[in-house]
Amino acid sequence: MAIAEITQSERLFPPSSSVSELLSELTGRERYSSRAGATKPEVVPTVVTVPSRGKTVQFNYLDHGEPEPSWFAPVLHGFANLVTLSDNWDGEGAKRIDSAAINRALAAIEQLLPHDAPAPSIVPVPNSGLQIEWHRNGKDLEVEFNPNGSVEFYYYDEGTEEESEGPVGAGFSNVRDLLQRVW
Amino acid sequence: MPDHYVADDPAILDDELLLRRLRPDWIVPGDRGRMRIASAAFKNEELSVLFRSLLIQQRRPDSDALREHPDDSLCSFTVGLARSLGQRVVYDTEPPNDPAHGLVVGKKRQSDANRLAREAKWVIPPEPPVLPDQKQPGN
Repeated sequence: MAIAEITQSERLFPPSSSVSELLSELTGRERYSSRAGATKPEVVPTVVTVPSRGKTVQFNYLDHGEPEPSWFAPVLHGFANLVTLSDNWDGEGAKRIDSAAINRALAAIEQLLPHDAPAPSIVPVPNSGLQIEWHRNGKDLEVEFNPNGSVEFYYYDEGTEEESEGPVGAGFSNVRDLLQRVW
Repeated sequence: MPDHYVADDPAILDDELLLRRLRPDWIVPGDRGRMRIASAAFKNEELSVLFRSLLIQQRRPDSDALREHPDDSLCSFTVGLARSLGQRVVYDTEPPNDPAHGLVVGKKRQSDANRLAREAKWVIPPEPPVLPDQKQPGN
């Protein structure tokens, strides 16, 4: 599954629809196309629409017909919340979240997370960046995507008080082992 | 907001409580089903806070900090904690700012922001989310 881009629609979402209804529809959707009676996976450009803050956000991705990752719906919901933040979203003058940072984070999630990984929280940062984070099993892991292109991590183990932070490294080499510990 | 180097104000005591307003986006699932404060809430180089002692002097309740942000929640941490992380703390009460306003100034590493998030205490916690079957008629 390759999440290619996000587009945001300004039209209001019908008030009778809810996030949960849409996401459950997404989760249970048939994702194989059938040809001549046989079911065969094929790549299908797909658009998922997620409502947030009275707007709709469209996620465009290539559906390879694989089972949907467990984190798919909550992650899209989290990013929809980011995309619909406007300038001064924190009441202290923060600019809206940088779209390039959002796309880098989406690409990283696709690259790093196996299908059964727990969904991260998607959190806006006042510098118009974002962080994806897990707080599980007494451990904290955050990966911050800055608008200047840098990507940094923070890890903390409550039990041992082990703490580390810094750049994620090439191919997220400094984070991969930590992800396993948090999951 | 100051646009020059700001020195720490030594007249502000270490045990002074600082109130920090939290957007709903900064409350995330934590361990054991609890919600926790995201470190992103503490990453501004000029972190906006209210001095609790000034609110009390001005005979204002803590909830005044959320007057224009009713969906937000409120936490506190001490000046001493901020200083232990290399931060400078100053009053910033000139109009049009809130007369209890202050700043925690300094670059905050992720470890600094996480320490603030871990040690902050709830003053006005977030409302638990309302599930669809809990909604009252007319809501």
